[in-house]
Amino acid sequence: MSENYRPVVNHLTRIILKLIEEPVPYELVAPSELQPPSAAGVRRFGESLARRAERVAAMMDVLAARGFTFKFEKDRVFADSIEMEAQDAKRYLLTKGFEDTEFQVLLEYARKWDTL
Amino acid sequence: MAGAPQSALPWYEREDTWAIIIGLGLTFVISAAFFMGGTGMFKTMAVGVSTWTDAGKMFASLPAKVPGFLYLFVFFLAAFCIAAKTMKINVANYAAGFTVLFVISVAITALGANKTLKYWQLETPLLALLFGMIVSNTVTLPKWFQSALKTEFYVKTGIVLMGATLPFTIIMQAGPMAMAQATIVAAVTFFSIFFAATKLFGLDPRFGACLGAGGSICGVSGSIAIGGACRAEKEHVSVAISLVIVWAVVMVILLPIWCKALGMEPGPAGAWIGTSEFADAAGFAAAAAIGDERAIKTFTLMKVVGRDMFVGIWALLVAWLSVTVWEKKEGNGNGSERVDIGEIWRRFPKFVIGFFVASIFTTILIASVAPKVGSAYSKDVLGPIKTLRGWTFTWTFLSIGFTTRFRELTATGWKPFAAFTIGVLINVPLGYWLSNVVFLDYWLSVK
Repeated sequence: MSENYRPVVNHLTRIILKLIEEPVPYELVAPSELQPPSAAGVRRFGESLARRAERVAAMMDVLAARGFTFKFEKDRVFADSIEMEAQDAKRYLLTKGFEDTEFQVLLEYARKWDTL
Repeated sequence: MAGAPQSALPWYEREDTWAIIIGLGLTFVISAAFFMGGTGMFKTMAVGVSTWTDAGKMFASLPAKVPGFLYLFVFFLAAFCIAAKTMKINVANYAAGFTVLFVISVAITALGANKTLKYWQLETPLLALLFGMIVSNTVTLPKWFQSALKTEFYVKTGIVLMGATLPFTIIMQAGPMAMAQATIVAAVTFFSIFFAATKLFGLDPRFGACLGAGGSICGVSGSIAIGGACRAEKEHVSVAISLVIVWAVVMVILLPIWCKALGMEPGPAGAWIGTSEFADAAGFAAAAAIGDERAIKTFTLMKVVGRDMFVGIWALLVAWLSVTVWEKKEGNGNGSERVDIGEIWRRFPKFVIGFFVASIFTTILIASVAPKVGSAYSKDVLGPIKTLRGWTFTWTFLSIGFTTRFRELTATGWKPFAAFTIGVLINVPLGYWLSNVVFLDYWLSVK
């Protein structure tokens, strides 16, 4: 491929950060069917939600440093960039110590000018 | 809207939404007018130019058509400008550009109705395409005019209108055949290009997937959807798009010529074009060049119902492959990132919904009225819709021509070109064999 090839598309890299992990860790509330829910279980559940929220916030911090902007929809935060490419964004998050199970990467292209 | 990824836009700013609103809106309004006894304006608006041999007579017939051209212009200008305003396109520029595009389309339509040019298959679609390409490759088009060259928007609107004129019963009958043929061709072509790209030429698998999608699923839209799904690089998607355009332009000229030379019936010819042409808009131009409505119907069944609809499923498969195999191999993650099933819907071409709704609407309507009323409906409503659809395709073909700049398409490198060409060399004969031999009876039965 020519080194000077001019892209004919624009892109949007979107990192999807779910505020509540899936599957929702309800087993923390009542570890088995035989055990009734307990106050300690609910606290554990709350702590897991807090841990997740902290991870999401940490990812938002590092993404903000690379110019991502944020949107909130339903139960998730969208971190958007029209500068950073998707592969680079994933690599970046991994190098910052995050796991690829903690986020989802969505990449969308659009024609830069109208064509076929 | 070109330039902004659809995810970044609210639904009402998306091109597909407006193609559906205009296409379905027009279908509903003309239908309502029919039952209220007033389709006169729409019949006047559905203006065309009859085949001519004597230029003097043709020019003499034009003044009587002026009200029709005016209605047509004002209606579409208003509809497109409302859409443009919502899509945040500069309306003044768009209106000026569309006015010029409209005037050119009238001139090209008049020229394309010439008997001699028709004999040489140089009808409106190809003339529009060639005229646009000659102009855009010799002069620099002003920005305001470029803002009206909305190829995708016009073709999507035309496809929704196409739905209104294609009975849903035909879709149900021929749809499974179209899907079977499309699946065979898409799978064979995709994997041919993919393996040629990756194994023969050592290209990145995501690049191979973009090239394969462009050559097999749905052209530029396929490359864009699959490129996004597998997170291919911008340059990879761009090269795939360029190759799709180059081959689509070659095929828009060659396929109708071959169909004629091989003495193909319109039905199988349209199916072949639907199988082997790489882009919707170019395919419509090639199918229209056959000069028979049946070719357009079988083309639509193959391309829209058989191929375009399944881009979401391909996207999901490729996204899964990318995460679990390609990225894992590169050490970019351990392959456990979730691949959302929502990928299918995300990449699904939404305007296809408008195509189906229009088809179901007119089919149910005709089936639920007396046969005599049904015939009148076909003549007074579907007749004008067919003509209006033709105009949206003419604007499409002109836009393709005006936006095809060969200088910008040449720097693709020989490896991707060779991989794509291998796919073309497999796809075209395979498409011919399936359309004209294996599924011949089905395509002949589409009336």
